[in-house]
Amino acid sequence: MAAHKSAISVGLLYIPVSMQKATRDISISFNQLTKDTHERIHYKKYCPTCSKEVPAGNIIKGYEYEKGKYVVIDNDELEKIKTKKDKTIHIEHFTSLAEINPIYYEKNYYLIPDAGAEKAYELLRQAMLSQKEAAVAKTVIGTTEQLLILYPTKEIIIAKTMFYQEEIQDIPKSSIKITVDKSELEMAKTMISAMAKPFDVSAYHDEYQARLREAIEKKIRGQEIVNIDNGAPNNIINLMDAIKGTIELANSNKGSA
Amino acid sequence: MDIFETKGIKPMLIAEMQNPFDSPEWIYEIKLDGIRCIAYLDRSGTDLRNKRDKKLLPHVPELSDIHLRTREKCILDGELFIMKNGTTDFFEIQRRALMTDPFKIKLAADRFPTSYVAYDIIYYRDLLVTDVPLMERKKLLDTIVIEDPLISVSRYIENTGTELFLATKAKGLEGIVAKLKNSKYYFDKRTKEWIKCKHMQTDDFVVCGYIKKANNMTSLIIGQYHQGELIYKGHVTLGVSLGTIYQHQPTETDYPPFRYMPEDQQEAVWFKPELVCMVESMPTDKPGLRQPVFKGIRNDKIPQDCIAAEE
Repeated sequence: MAAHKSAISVGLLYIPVSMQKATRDISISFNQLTKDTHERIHYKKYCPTCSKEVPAGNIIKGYEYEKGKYVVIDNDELEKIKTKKDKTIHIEHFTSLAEINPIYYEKNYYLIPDAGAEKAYELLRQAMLSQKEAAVAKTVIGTTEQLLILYPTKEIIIAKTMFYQEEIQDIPKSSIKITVDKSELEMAKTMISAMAKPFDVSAYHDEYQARLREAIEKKIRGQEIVNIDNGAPNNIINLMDAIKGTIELANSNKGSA
Repeated sequence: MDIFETKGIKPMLIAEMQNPFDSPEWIYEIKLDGIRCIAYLDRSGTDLRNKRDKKLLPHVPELSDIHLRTREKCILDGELFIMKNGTTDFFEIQRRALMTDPFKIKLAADRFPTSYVAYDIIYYRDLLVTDVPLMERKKLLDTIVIEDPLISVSRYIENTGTELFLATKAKGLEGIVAKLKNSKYYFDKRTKEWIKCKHMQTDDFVVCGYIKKANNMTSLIIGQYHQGELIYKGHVTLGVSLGTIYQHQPTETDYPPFRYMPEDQQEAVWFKPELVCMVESMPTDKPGLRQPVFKGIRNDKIPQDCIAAEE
């Protein structure tokens, strides 16, 4: 939910925007409970030698460079090498989306212009749309130097975070060079054409999640007997009419008396 | 572009007064404790916005079809609220407005559905009606809305504001709103033509620490910001549950967050000023809180926005 404050910077344009997540996690997550009391399980950090709990102030960071051997690095040292907090989205250059291998795409964010920045934002969006160009940009999110692709849609500019080249693994086996029979290839192509149709994302759902939600709803309904509501009428029209009626009755009685 | 398309309406604000009054020039309505909500309704659908123009419908999908309950294209001003145990429950609607998980929202909507009560009309068919006197707007509202449990029109009474005030108290409602009969609708303005009278004052405070008292009671130490500095504002004991506070993971510290240390607080456990809570109290003209009651933690407000009222 939390929006990340930023600004798009390109040439003479400086457009304050906020980055808002375009996707949400809708999968059911469970909590761990104690079997008997149904209380939430808590984690304690403890030292395996003395079996005592370690307070946050006594926990430091170490890097395991060899099995069982650590170099310790403290917060001051980390602070020194941290990327300068530059939340601005710097556009480096423009490119065609077709140039980018989709394997690099990671997460999607909506870029929402701040109040007063709408015009400059619209200018950039429309210009990119008519030139059919996307922008390659850099920014800092948290401590991460993030590579971004900005691309325009009919309504909004979307930012996609990108993997760096180092993060993409090599194909584990070298690609196989086998000659295929021409007639077999034709057969395979016929099969593909027969199964081709426009893509409709709304036709697909995670059916396990749907069954899980259904099971949970059923359980809750089973527990409704112990509902916290005391059964007082929750119809606002009745409540408003009852109050109005009481007062009008009281007033008319006064009038006739 | 037309205001129906551009949205972004900032609703008229309501001035506050301590005592209700009776006047034939005014009408009186029940004040429902919910979220102020502007509804843009036409044949194609329902769009609900809060006073900062944020879309509310994703949080209250049970109201997706209320446009089918209006006879004309219109923009309405009203309150989005949840009723629980026969009265409005602010924390329930606030919790809902912060939910993003669609399944959790659906579960909440099944148990405690929201409802919309319209008390004004801003736009009718294709034009603004903000310059039309209030009583005529009220008539328009009555003809346009086909009531059902999800959308209704706010009832009002004439003359006897004091009686309505007492009646709302008996029902556990927040109070009343008095409106001048010939008042126009002014965007984003607080005028003396719309006045609310509340039974209880509510204010938000920063949770700064607590003291354990006898018979298992916990007294919460609360503060507010004054010119950028956090200052001590007193204690609240009623309604406080330490379990609730710790569910929001406060950070304990060795020192109080105030520059000037209040007396007799040696036994206190101090927190970093990170949590905001809502406290209800009896209206009073004197400094300090009168019979304060802790109402809960607010996750939608930052501590620096808890500003001390000028005394």
